[in-house]
Amino acid sequence: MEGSLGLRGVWLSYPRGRRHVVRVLVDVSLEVHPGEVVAVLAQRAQGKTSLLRVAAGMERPDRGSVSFAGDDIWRSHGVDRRRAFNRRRRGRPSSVPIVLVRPAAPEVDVPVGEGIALPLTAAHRGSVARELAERALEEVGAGECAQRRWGDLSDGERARVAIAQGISRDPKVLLVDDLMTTLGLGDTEEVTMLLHSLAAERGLGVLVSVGDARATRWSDRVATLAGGALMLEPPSRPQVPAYPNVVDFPGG
Amino acid sequence: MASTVQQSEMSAGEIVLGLLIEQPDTCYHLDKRIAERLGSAQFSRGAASRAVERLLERKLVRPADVEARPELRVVGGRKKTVYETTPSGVDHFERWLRASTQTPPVREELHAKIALWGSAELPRLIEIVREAELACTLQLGDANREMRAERQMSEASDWERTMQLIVSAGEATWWDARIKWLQSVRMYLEREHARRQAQAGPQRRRAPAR
Repeated sequence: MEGSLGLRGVWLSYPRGRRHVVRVLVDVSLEVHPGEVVAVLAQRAQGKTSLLRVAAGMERPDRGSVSFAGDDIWRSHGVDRRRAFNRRRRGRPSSVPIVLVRPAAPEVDVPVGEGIALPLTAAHRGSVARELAERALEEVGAGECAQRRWGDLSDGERARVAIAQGISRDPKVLLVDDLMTTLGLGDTEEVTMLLHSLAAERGLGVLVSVGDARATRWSDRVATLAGGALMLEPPSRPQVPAYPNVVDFPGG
Repeated sequence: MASTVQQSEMSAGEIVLGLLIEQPDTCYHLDKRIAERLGSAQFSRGAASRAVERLLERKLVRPADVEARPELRVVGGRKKTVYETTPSGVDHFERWLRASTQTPPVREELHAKIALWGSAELPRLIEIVREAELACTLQLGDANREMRAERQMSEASDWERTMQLIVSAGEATWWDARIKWLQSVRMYLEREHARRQAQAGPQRRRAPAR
């Protein structure tokens, strides 16, 4: 489908020592369509981050394909395949279709508004970049955080800032790694609702990894990941009618 | 306590069926085997004979023909009936093994299944736990959609929204616990399977040389 991210039959393993390998992903297939939120529920150390890194094209799977809008992102030849792919797709280097975010302290301790604007200056003039950053922060309801530093933010604000950083680059698919782990009940609800409405409004595909089923409540589809195996709701499940005894009368 | 016993009584029939599929046996020995394999299930003594009576009525088990199969004969003591499963009994057991995967799995029942599963068939047991996992994942998705539909319909006050949030978190946590338990069970079984294969591997390779 146009603008959807697809993983097909993806295998990934890491070497452990000389003789052993750890299987992280075993025959994982997954599609994220525009406008939907897919939540991957897994316990610690079950490959959530690896799955997102593979989806973002930061890690090359041992087997299987990762594609965006039908294009295999590893098949184009060149020195830096992923960058070539990104440039070809949108023309501007900073505007990449797939963006992975996680709430982590930035390397330079500057106000978060500037932190978001900085990478955007590769493609835009400074004033434009700052405006884009401000707009992104407004969109996630964290406009007042622009002048503050990472260390002064609450966990809920950090999650919003991370999302703002993602959408400031105008992606088609947003990958969100472990955003809700540190959040309480109310913040989890608000942040997941925010992702839900961002996906719907922008036609953005969102893949979010979570450690707790409470953070899946506002996702359109749920997947579970353990021992390398991914269980996923199919995209178009026959909906169970809420009132099975009520039938539609023709013309009624 | 009462509920535990009732729970156990419910699946005693299937447990007896499973044990009889493994090995035709007398009621006395069935009781012993239940205690060995499912000690934690707290079956009362005599549970096996009651279960066998019910299974006889439903024609799922029958007395084995000891004359034709002398290896089943119990040596010594007074004469005891040895029971075996009928083909429909085997069918029923197989159906039971699969049945609970579509509903939220009851832990006791899955415990019983794991206890009865022959080690040779570990891959199939893993598959069933996998099915249960997928069923739970799908049901969590359905529960999420229902929750959202309710939320979008209602014109709730602040306090009602708070209550909805708490109820929603409770429901999600319930699914969370089930899914994670199933995940851990499956991963354990998969490790166990890999370990047994590794053990069996060298022997199999050595076999042709002999």
